[in-house]
Amino acid sequence: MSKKSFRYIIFVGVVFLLLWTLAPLYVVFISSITPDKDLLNVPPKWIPTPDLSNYAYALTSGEEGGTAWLFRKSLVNSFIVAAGVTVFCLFIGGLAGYAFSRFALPFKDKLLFLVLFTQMLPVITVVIPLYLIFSTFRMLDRLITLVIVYSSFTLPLVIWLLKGFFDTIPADLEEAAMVDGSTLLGAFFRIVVPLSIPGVIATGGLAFLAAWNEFMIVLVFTSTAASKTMPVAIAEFIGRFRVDYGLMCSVGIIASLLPVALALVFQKYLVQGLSAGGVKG
Amino acid sequence: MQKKQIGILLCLPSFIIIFFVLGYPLGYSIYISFLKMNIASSLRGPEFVGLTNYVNALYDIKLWAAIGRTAYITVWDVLVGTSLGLLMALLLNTMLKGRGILRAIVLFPFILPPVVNGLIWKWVYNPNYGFLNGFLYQIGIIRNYQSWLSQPWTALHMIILANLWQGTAFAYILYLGGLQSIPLQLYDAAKIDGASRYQTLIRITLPLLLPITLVIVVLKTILTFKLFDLIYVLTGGGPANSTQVITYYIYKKSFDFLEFGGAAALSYILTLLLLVFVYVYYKLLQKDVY
Repeated sequence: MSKKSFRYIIFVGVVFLLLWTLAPLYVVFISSITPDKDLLNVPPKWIPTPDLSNYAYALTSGEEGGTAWLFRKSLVNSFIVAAGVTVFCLFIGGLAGYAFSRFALPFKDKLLFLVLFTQMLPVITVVIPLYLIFSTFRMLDRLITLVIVYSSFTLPLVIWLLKGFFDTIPADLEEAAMVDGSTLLGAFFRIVVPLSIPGVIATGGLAFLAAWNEFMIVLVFTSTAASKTMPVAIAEFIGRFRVDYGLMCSVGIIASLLPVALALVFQKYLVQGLSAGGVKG
Repeated sequence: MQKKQIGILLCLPSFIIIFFVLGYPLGYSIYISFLKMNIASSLRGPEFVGLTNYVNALYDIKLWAAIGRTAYITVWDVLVGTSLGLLMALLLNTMLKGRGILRAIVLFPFILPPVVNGLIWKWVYNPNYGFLNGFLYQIGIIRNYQSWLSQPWTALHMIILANLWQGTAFAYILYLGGLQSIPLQLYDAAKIDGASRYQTLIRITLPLLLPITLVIVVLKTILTFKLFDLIYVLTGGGPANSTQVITYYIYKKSFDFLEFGGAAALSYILTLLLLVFVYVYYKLLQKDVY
């Protein structure tokens, strides 16, 4: 193969890759900025005259209880839940990951299996009993319940990933600190954690994404706007008989901004976390 | 305090959560699967029926149809998704301008919320104003707009396409990791021996990617067997059950028909099925494929 034909193949590959990845995203993006009257064109307009009214409506207006209001409320709920899961998992998972990294625990070799098991476990298998349990305690329609349930799913992976990152930090540093009078936890928080910040960010990012995107549990558990998160709000919106397509597309884009921003900023770390976990979060 | 005790103490919060929210419900669910527990119709409360729910599952034609359908989607996802992921990884592992940006862009579909993935394709496939219809009409492939999600055959395959689109980057990420772990000396040696690009690919790169390929196939199978969100948003299992995958069937049995006992039994059958794949994966990991 000559150098020229190789470059030709690469070029065709890149074009195909961009079309495959971006075409559906482009369609949704232009639909979100197309004025309503142009959106129902047959055949469709591929290049719109930009109009941001859908975004303005989704983000600022609409009566209380209406589509846009419900969507904004669900975004706030999603953020609270995802942030809660991230902080909670990083904190208690970090302690456990540290223990797995530094101490000879009797169940050390079972951790990987626990990680694989929880990542593979079909959510429906746990949702049925959890639904029955939480409904007897009248805990179903609450954000705190979502945080607890998501955390239990994410914790094994968080512990596993953090253990891997802590393993790369030499134990001499903490030992030196402890000789100088630091406590174990003091050494952990002042030395080990700061040195493994990239790993903590990668792990936190994965935990956040998993909670932000989760659908089945919140679908089964929640029944009012007080605790519905973004995926359920969007699914309900799409499921209506008459749908405002332009608004639907802008809502989808707003809901994706945070994951996409995470991926852009922490791309390297996220890929690291994903391939280390081996399983989608 | 002994070191070991401190270690256990540090793990305790995590283990308490995992036990009460994951372990205990799993055990409770086995118990439920031995009950006839239909909240909607039974006034007598749950009734112990032994293995009846499991025996019924064996004769449940809808269950087997759902498993077959899920397997069919999985075959597509594994064959096409893995190949596309490999091609993407090979492409983005070569030196080219803008590689960093491309590597970020290809992650977009993968990190979108699955429900938003459903939203995207619901609009693309729209029978009256959708861009798939518009595009195919404008280039002359179809003469009339089609209702892609209202006909059983097209609905199933449109689901497969939408699922593939979101999942491609998964194989790509693992393959890219695999490619970067191949020692560069191998390529230098091949160059000195006068091997062509094609020979290097066939004789060095692909054989060394075989272990990670096995991992990808197993993981993709597990992920596709859990497919739910996309089905819920796009078709709701229809038309005529043509897209009713196994998870969706169990979901409907429990939360639409409120047959919790039967549904719990089915969820255990699914879990056991996936455990087989996890076991294979666990064995692969122990062979150190990473």
